[in-house]
Amino acid sequence: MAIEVTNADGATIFNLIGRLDSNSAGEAEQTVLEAVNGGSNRLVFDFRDLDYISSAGLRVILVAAKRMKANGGKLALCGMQEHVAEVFEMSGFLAILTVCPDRQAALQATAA
Amino acid sequence: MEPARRSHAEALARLRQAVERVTEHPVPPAAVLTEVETALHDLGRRSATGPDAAGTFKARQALGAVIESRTAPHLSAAVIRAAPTPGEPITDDARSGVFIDLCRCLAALCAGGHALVGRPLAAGAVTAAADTLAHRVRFYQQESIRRLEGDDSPDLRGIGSDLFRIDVLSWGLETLQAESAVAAVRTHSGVLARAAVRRATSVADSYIRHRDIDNRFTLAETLRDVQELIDVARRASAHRDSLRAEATRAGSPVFEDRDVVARLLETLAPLSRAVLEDMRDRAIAGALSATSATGTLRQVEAILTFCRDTRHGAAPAALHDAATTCTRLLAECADALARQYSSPASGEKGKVRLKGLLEAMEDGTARLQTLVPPARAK
Repeated sequence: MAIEVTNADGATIFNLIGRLDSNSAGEAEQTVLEAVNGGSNRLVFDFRDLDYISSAGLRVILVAAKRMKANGGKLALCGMQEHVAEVFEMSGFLAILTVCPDRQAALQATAA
Repeated sequence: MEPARRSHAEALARLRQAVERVTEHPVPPAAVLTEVETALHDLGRRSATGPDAAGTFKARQALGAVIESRTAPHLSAAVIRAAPTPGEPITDDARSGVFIDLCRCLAALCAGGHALVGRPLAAGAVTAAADTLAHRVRFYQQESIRRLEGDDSPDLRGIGSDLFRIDVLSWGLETLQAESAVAAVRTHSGVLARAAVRRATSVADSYIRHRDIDNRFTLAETLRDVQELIDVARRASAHRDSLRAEATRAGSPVFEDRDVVARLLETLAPLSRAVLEDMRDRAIAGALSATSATGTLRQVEAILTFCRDTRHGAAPAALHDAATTCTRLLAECADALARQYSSPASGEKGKVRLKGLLEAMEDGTARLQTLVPPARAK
């Protein structure tokens, strides 16, 4: 699992690569919280290179979403492969998250 | 009209417009909800400073009545529609992304009643939404536990997903400040997690006792979903910890129920042994294929992954025991294979088969080694 962190249009973009599971979730959460604690209030998770997400990975996204709601920030997900999108649907996260087809749309959604 | 009075009247009009827009949609979009919250905030700020508030008394009472009779019940229904119900198909409304925004808007309208009529509004609408959501979770938990008590393999993937739906509902209930519903829902979630861990343990126990085809299949299904099992086990441990902490705070007897995760961890070294003995026996009988060896080693990998990632006090010892068992039995298995296929009688075909099997075992063993921490230097 690797996470590339970049900034664009005032948003922090996390490009997740590989498997986000119980082994890698701790490091991923730390990376995300560092960005949030550093003042980022627009987060974009780009999942186009994510092959698998487990419950532990979902928890990272939930933590980030809660922090964004509490801070008045915005969070959007993009680039999900079909099987990853299915996991998000099954877990009920689509009731609380903004999911966009690509990074550009996600950046727009967090800017609105 | 004086400027201050006009501002207050305008804020009231803006809130009325926003509130009317709420009922135009079965599930109002985020922009409408934000508008209501902004208008409420604006009105609250003005009425707190505006001595002219009395001038709009009738308008405020009328708007309060509209909120109480129409807007809040509508929002309450929207909260219920947009909530992801565990165990049920996800609807378009539950894909709306606005569940938390709906809860927040309903809570804000309820609390914002002070600025309108001097008391909270629509508490009944909040209670109705909270009770419905909590009831759904209780029903789901009871149904799930009933299913877990059957003979089927535990649907860990489904339970894992549904526990997240309960997390989402719990967040919504927190936003609604429905504290007793939050507590109830968390308890239901914890009880279900513990039941799922108990069922996984019984699957392991059954396989250890009888390595028949049914138990082999049920175990394979359970270990396939090891990532979900890890999450469920962590939830079960967290629930137990919270019960103990609550008991300590309340000065009541400490919860001494069996630690279900420790019980599962105790099972894992014997389970690894049983899985690998099964593989060794099939190797001795000449009935082990490379595909079957790979599948078996994946199961052992899942067992060690559980030990490594489950974050329980007993996990490191369980990992050590399971890894030690694996090392010994993998060596026995390789010996059995070598005896089986390296004799001249097994011919060229036997050598090819042995090569394939040993490659599968080497790949599997290499993956297992990545899961075991290096032995500490003495």
